[in-house]
Amino acid sequence: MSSRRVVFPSVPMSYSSLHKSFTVNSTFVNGNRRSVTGGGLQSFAILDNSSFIERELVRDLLFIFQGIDGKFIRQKKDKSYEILAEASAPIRELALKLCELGHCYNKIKLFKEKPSAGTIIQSFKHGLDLELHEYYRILADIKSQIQESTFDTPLAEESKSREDITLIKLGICITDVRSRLEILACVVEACSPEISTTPVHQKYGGELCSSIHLYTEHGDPVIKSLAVSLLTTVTKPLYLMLGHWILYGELEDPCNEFFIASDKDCRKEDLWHSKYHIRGKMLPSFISMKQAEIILATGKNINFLRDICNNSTGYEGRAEIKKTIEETPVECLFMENDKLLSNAIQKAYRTTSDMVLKVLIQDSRLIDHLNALKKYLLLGQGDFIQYLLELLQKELAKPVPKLYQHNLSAILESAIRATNAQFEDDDILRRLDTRILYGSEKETGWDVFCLDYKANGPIGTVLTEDVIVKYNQLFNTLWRTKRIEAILCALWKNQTTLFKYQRSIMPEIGPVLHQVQLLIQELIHFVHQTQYYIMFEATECAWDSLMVNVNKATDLDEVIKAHEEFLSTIMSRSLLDIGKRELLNQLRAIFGTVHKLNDFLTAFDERVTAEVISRRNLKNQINETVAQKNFFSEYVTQAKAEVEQLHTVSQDLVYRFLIVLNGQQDSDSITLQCLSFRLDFNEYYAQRDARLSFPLTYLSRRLSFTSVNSPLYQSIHTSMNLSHSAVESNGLPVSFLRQQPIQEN
Amino acid sequence: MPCEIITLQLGQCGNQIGFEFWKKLCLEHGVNPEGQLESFAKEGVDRKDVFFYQADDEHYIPRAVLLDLEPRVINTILTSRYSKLYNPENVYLSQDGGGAGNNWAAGYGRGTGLHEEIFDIIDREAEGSDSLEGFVLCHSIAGGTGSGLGSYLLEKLTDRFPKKLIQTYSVFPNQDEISDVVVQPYNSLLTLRRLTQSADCVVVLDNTALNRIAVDRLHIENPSFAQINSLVSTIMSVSTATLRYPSYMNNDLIGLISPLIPTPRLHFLMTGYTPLSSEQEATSIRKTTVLDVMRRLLQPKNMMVSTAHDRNAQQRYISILNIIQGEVDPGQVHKSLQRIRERKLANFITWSPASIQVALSRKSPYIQTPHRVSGLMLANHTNISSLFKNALKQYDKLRKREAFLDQFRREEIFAENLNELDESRDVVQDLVEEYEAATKSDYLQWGLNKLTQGQ
Repeated sequence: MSSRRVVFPSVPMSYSSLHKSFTVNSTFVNGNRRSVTGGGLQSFAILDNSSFIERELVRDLLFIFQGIDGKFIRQKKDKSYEILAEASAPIRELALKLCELGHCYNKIKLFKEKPSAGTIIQSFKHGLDLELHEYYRILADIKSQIQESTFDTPLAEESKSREDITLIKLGICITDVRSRLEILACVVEACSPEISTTPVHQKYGGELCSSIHLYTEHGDPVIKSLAVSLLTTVTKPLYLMLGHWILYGELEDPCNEFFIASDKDCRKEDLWHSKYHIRGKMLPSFISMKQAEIILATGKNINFLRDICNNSTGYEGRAEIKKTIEETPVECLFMENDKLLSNAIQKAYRTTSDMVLKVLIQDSRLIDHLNALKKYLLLGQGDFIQYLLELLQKELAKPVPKLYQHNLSAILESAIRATNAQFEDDDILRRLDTRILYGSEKETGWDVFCLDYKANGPIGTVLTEDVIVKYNQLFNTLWRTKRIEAILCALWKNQTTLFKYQRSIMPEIGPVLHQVQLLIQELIHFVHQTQYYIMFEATECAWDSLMVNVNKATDLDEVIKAHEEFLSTIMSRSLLDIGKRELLNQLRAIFGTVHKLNDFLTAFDERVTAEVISRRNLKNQINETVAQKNFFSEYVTQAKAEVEQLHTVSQDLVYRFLIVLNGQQDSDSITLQCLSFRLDFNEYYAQRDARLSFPLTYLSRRLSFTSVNSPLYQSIHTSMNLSHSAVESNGLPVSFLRQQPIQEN
Repeated sequence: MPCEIITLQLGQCGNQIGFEFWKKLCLEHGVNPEGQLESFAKEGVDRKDVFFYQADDEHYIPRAVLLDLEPRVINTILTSRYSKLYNPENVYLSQDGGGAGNNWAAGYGRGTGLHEEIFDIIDREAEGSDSLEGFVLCHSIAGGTGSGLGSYLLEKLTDRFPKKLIQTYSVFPNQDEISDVVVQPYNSLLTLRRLTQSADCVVVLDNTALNRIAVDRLHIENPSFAQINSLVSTIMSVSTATLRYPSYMNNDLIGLISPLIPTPRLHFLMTGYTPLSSEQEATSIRKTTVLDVMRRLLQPKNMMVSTAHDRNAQQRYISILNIIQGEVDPGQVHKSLQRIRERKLANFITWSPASIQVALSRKSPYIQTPHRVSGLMLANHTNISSLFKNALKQYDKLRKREAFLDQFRREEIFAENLNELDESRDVVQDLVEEYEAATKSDYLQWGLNKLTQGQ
């Protein structure tokens, strides 16, 4: 058989190609060839023999049309037909041509008899049945005509005068039904691998609907109306499923035919995100993806309300929508003449979405929870955070294995009780907890501690575990910055006190104090500006647009999206992006110098205190002068050098941080430049470092064009080399500059 | 809860501005004059416990100590609607009621005698707080009690509470009018020494500027004390707003002042406030934006300190903190900063990174203001030294003539000699020099040299 595949919108199958393969048994052919060639078609009728054969063939064909072999025509194993009777070539041709109908019928029958699961396939078969009924009726009609014409009655002569059913007549009688059956055969073939000559998989469900739908757009009105009526039958179960889903959010789909699928093992918390999805393959071609999404969302809404919010009362207007769905003919699914159905769906979607939003925003107070996250996990509630930091100092200095959740939680509790957090809603406080992130044994509590928020219930859909983890990370980063600020404040206070008291007793430490004060000031400036930046440019700006977007949102997905955007903006602006690792590391290195300074000053204070005590024991003035001189030459000079060194290192780190910051090229670079703008508002760094007076990209371009001997190159290169040595000797990472101009040597 | 602050009100002026301050705080926190929380007030919006504590019957009591050597002002307070607000044990009136006679030395001298009684009160207050952060002292530097007793208290507080911060709101005398206190220059200088050495942060409230603002900006012909004090109370309440309405930053005194004060002696802050409007002038309300507010704050006419404009000296800002209240779009802050830098509206020091810090603070929900946005600037500006220079000049004039020194000699501290005056002059002179050095870019080096010379 021909292996041509039906491609829409070709007329079902080219049967001209089909009949070529019908073989004609040559033994019966010989005798009559001449007589055939002599006459035209009209001559058949008058030949007795041939008209007998024709009659026989007509009779046989009626059997063939029902898939049964006749006396003279039968189907061979290879499914081609053969004519056993001796007949003229035109008659044979004609008969064989008519056999095609039997061929189609067989195909349909084969498909129908093949056991298959699925309601849509069943209704397809039912649709085929209906068509075949009509077919049988026509056959019966023809048969009765034949019987009338050949009935052996005494009035045979009379009957003879009546017209016989000839092959041509038969052909005319079956024209209509034949084209219908051809289409059906085609559809069947396209859907079933057993029947198809080409490799197709067994189609079912929505996919089957799509295949039939193809023909509803056929130009031939007969084909079109056939396809429509067939599709109407076929989509009935689909329509019921759809109705059920839209009205009750239930999937009645034992055979996985519907275009929405559910994951039965899905956890309750993930209901919104992963329980339901669109089965693309099952999506009928007459339902657009957008519509499918709306349908999916509607059912999801209903399920969300029922399973997560324990609200199974249904939604307003459901009865009305139900009525609409019941009254609307099935064709509405694919014949969008009036928008009745899609309006009903739209309405169901709107109503349920509004309900979900209401539950989430009004009943579950989503905004309050987001606010709580901003206050506690993004450090908005300053008094609480500060007190918590103070209380946790000791605990967090411990290495990771010695941290215990219960200790941390107890401290959290006391911080809440003592600060304005105590007036917070109980529900929010109950959700607030501590968490220890995964960390190696070498790390301390500071590296792994974070606040946590238990977002169960409806809000868990927006605040999923992944989202909370991001909040955790943000908290940890901001928390570290807060800690640095706290250290610097303590240092500032100590220095001020030291200045007030020790200066009168020990004026010789003055130079060290002055330098230390200025270094502290510089670091305070850095840390404060970084925090202001995170607070305004990152958190508050993002929060503003989050609020705008949440208020605008028309369904839960939009809320989720708005919140995800909010988080990722803050993450990116707080340098927590993967792409900003380098900046984050540099920032941490700058924070590292604060710790170094802290260590130094602790040692310095001890030394000075010891000296004060030992001086008290000195009785006379001369001894004191000597002691002063010794102390100065032994310790103060060295301490001063140490502070100077620290100052150089920290400034150098800031320079480099600023350079990388200015060179940021991503979409958020504008906001990042806000940070560098804040950090160097009075252009203190820019005036001291040529690298900062123009953007890095420009610099590197200049460098690559500048010869090595040019003064610009050399000056820059020297300054960079200097900073290398200064930093390397301190064992701090030299990550950035190394890759830059050195390669050009 | 941590970070409580005890307010000490000293003398006539100190008690007056203190009184206005507490009135304002009560309004802002929804506390009525008897200390009861108003029915409309909600918990959790603000932190009342920084400045108040709760009695057993839950009514709020200010952490305030009222001290005076003469009864007039305190009696006014105690007969006002707010009489029941204060803890009566915290009101200390000298029994003899004689006052300090506008004499620093007298006020200072009285301190020794009253030491125990005063510190009983202060100690009790300090013990009553969970983790006291510091003291706020309200006083004037020109009179007798605020300046003299104030100086004494500053010294003793530093000894007694070495780890606590001391912030003062110090009223400087009006230089536009002739004072009836002839020894005012002595008083000022002697107090300035203590403010330099013992206080951690001094918010300068300059009566000269306050009066000018009242006259020029608020169109009040003869501004009364009450009108001036309402300006002062605004400054005091807004400058503590971040402590009382916690948000991301500046939630405690140290977080507020440490970024403003680079080295321990450069701790005299100027303030500016905008928009200024009095009740009579509610008509001239303009649309206010963050940029407007931040730009106006940099205009000298809005500054609460009258400093001689000195073009040559290249006066500079050491640091600025703007506390902005109201409906602020956070995105505007950066734009405003950019505009200010482009137009070079703020001239900063060159020896250290510095910038305008902007803290957004909530406003009291119980007070309606006609303005959408308002702002207070706390600035450390080298030009403040012109006030000290002026004080030195006036002092020198008087001292040259050895005028009015008799009443000082009568007090113990000057009984033997006038060294105290000379030493104070040195300290203030040093302070002026340090501020001048801070205008130059080699301040770091200056500090090293200066201090090395010192030993």
